Amino acid sequence: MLIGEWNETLLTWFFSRRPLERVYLRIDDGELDRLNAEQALGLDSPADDLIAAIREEVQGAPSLRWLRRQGDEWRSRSDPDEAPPWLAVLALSVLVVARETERGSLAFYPPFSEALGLTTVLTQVDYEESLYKWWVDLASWLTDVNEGKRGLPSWRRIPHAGPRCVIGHPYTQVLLRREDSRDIDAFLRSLGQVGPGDLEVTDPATAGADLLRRLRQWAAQRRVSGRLWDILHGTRREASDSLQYMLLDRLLDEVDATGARGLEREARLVVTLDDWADRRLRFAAIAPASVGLWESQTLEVDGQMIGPLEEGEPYPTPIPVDATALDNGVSVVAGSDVTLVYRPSDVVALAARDWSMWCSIDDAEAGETVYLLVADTAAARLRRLLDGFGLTSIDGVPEGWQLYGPSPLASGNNLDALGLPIRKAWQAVPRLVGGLEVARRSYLVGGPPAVIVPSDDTEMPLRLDGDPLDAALGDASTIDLTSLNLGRGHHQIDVGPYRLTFELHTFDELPIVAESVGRTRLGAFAPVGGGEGEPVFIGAARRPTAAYDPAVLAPIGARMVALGLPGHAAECSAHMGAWAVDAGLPQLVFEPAQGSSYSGGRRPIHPIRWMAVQEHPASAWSVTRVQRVTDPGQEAEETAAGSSLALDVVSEIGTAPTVLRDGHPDDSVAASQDWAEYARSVKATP
Amino acid sequence: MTATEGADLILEWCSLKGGGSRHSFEAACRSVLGPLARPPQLLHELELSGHIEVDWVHSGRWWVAPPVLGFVEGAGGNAVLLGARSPKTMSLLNRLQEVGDIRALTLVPQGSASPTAVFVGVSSIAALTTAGHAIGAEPKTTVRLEYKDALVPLETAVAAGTREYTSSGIQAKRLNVATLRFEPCEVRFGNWMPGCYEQMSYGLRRYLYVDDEGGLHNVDRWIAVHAEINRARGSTIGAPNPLSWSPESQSLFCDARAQLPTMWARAAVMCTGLLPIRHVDRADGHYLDEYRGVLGTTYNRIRLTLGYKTQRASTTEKVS
Repeated sequence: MLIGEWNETLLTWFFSRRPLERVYLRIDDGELDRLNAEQALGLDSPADDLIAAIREEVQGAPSLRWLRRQGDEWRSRSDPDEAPPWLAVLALSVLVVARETERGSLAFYPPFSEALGLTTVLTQVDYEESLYKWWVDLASWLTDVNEGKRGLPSWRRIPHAGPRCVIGHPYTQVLLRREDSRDIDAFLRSLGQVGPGDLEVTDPATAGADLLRRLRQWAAQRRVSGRLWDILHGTRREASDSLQYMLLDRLLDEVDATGARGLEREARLVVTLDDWADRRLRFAAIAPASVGLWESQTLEVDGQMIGPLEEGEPYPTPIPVDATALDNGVSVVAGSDVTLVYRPSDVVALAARDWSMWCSIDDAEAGETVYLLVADTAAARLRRLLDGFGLTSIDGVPEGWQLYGPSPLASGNNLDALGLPIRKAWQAVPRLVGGLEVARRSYLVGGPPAVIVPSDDTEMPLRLDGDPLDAALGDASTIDLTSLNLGRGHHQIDVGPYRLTFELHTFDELPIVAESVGRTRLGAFAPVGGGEGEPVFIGAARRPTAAYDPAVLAPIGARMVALGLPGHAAECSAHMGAWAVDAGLPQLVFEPAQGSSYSGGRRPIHPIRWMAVQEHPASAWSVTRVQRVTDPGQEAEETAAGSSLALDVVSEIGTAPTVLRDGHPDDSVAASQDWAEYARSVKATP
Repeated sequence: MTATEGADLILEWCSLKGGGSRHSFEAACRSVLGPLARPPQLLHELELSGHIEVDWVHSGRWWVAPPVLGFVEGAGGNAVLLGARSPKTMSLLNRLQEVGDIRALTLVPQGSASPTAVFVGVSSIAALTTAGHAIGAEPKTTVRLEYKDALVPLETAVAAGTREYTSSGIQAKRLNVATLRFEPCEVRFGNWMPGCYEQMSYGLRRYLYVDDEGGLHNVDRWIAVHAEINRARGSTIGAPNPLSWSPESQSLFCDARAQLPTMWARAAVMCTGLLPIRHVDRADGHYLDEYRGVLGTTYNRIRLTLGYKTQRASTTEKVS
């Protein structure tokens, strides 16, 4: 094969992974044999063919000048589909390191030069001008040009100087085999709890060493591969150094707000089940940690708005769970730049955890109670695991699938059949939790987050805004900042080599409420619509708004008389609830007590049309205001001398009473006319 | 920061946040109130007061409600502020008081870790409207009436939860109407006998009411409990009347083992805007919730829709 063909083949083999998945250019003789077989290359010795193709291209020139020029042109084109022209050379460097390491040798330049077919040994300068830059270019191409869609690099942060700086790139690629990576991935899962921008590494060397130390502790608590154990506890310093780089690289990728993780615009679709009432399988969307960086946290699927999404919380979608979706996966554009993705698997485990429904999970915990949604084709493989799981009958389980459970996952090797990493609570780096967060890393004054620090036997120095912080503020692993009464502005917490920053705000705005969901009269939740129909309550508001129906609210006065039909009147007693007195509320208005009556009163006046109010105590009866009563439910009792009192009242008022507006904005004139009409009718009553 | 200040701050946070999960609320609550925080209780109190809505069972989410300045009958011209509020709301109210647009601003504490009730004193509907608009709140004079009128008969609420199938009954508990406690029972193969049941489902307690015809109803806990009490009262078993009312104090007392369902509790709370007070009944030691200032018409509507006869309360036997 020619070098171009090798470049294309390697690109397909190594860089066609899932988006944002960490990729390794993991070349050794075994991998090349696998590639040869699976890609049907038909080569007798793929390693020899690779070497021959490169020699043909390099032509013995130690400067690799021709490839460097091709590389510059390739970089300038920024084509996400064009294979890098030097990819095969990087692969060869990895192959050489793999072979040398296998032999227990640290040699690199001579065997690599020989593989390239150079007449002289490659110098470090030549290396730095070519391969070192190409590794950086490859990382940039994956991250920036391809936006992580071909996977994310795993070699970005190899230092330019120091031990293993030269062969650090290729070495990291073959340090661990596939089976070892699973352990590292399980360890690194805890890093997934920190999102883009959540953490800064202020001292990379110390942070790398710290991560390695924590990995050692973690590995001591569980079975890890022999190779990984040897690296962690063996004497090969170069191996553990490279492992440090890998761990640090992963951490920095997770927290780099401007990196590919920060650009992540994919929400995970999970299969959900409410086995109590709904009893149907559904898809829900779960947003990643980067959701706070999205322009909009709201998605649209089939015309239905979903969200605003909150990291890690499931939001139901209208996407149906059918055999096609389960077998082939789902990828739906659900907004300007957000994609909802379900990745297929022949067994789907659903757990409850902190959610209020069962959700499919991407890691499993021994002893955890789960439902298992299993494809018929996988049932035989899971036979042992499914012992103790009964079949569950619910509507809408797709054909070719069965739902089992719920039942606890027995520990042991059976769990491996699920194909999920084992979940283990582990805190590798500090992070912020809780607090009154209103935007990403922005909290209300008085509600700062707590800091979770990795708990182990090593005390990390803690500083808050540059000053030493007393770690005894919380328990062993949680530092509570609430009692510190932190003020507005930016704050930073240094925990060993890590720095966490956040901001405290006071918000001088009135709340703006998006009315989305309310309760029906039955107490069930329903969307708040703008139209007519069934009333929906959201707090104290009713939608649609009820017809205007004001209650009486009269200024406090010395005396109040209710006037009903002409000739009917009642004197009301002032009313204030005992609860209101107990609560210390001031009495500001005169509210007639329900059913209050003038002494000797008998017959109820219904309806009360007007209230006459004497505002200030006076020796003489002097009505200063009248107020129209618009609540037809008001009742009072007629006075024995009602007729004369009503006449007296009207007489006292004279011809120019002050008529109170009763809440309608422009009705005082109309109210005055009404009162005049009423007063005339009272006078006309014998 | 006191626990009350913490609860008020959490309400402000809810108002700014707009909505979220119970999980995030609990984390926020613990951050502010510390290890002694009782997030579900605070969430329930905010819900009862009409500050937020909580879907406890299905989505596990909460939403803040729009601000409402609701006139409270018998409050001497004070309106209660419900729904969302922020420091800006309070600063505007203070300014309105300074210029005389409102007559009073009274903060009523409601327990150590409960939000403060904010009462705005007005002397006319027009002033209520002005104050409401100034703080972005909907002025209302009919909140209590709207809730009272919205109450449906218990049978209607039960019928709305009717399902053909429900859960298996594994480790279910059944309500003993004599003690109003759930006790372990055996349900075989999803064969439910008439009664009220509790079963754990993914960390949540779920409730089922099975009527005399074997109909299955997945309903709110308190609807299920009252339905079962009603069923028992119609049979030879007999059951207590958990509601009583004091015409003197206008207080509605409700046995805390058979609490008012959300809409009914709201109708009672909206009479004053204040949360119920929990007492111990000296007679038998169980807890009672006292809803203050519940007008007779509202009490009647509550008891009739829940299916109970009038029962006069004796307030002398209750200790806060």
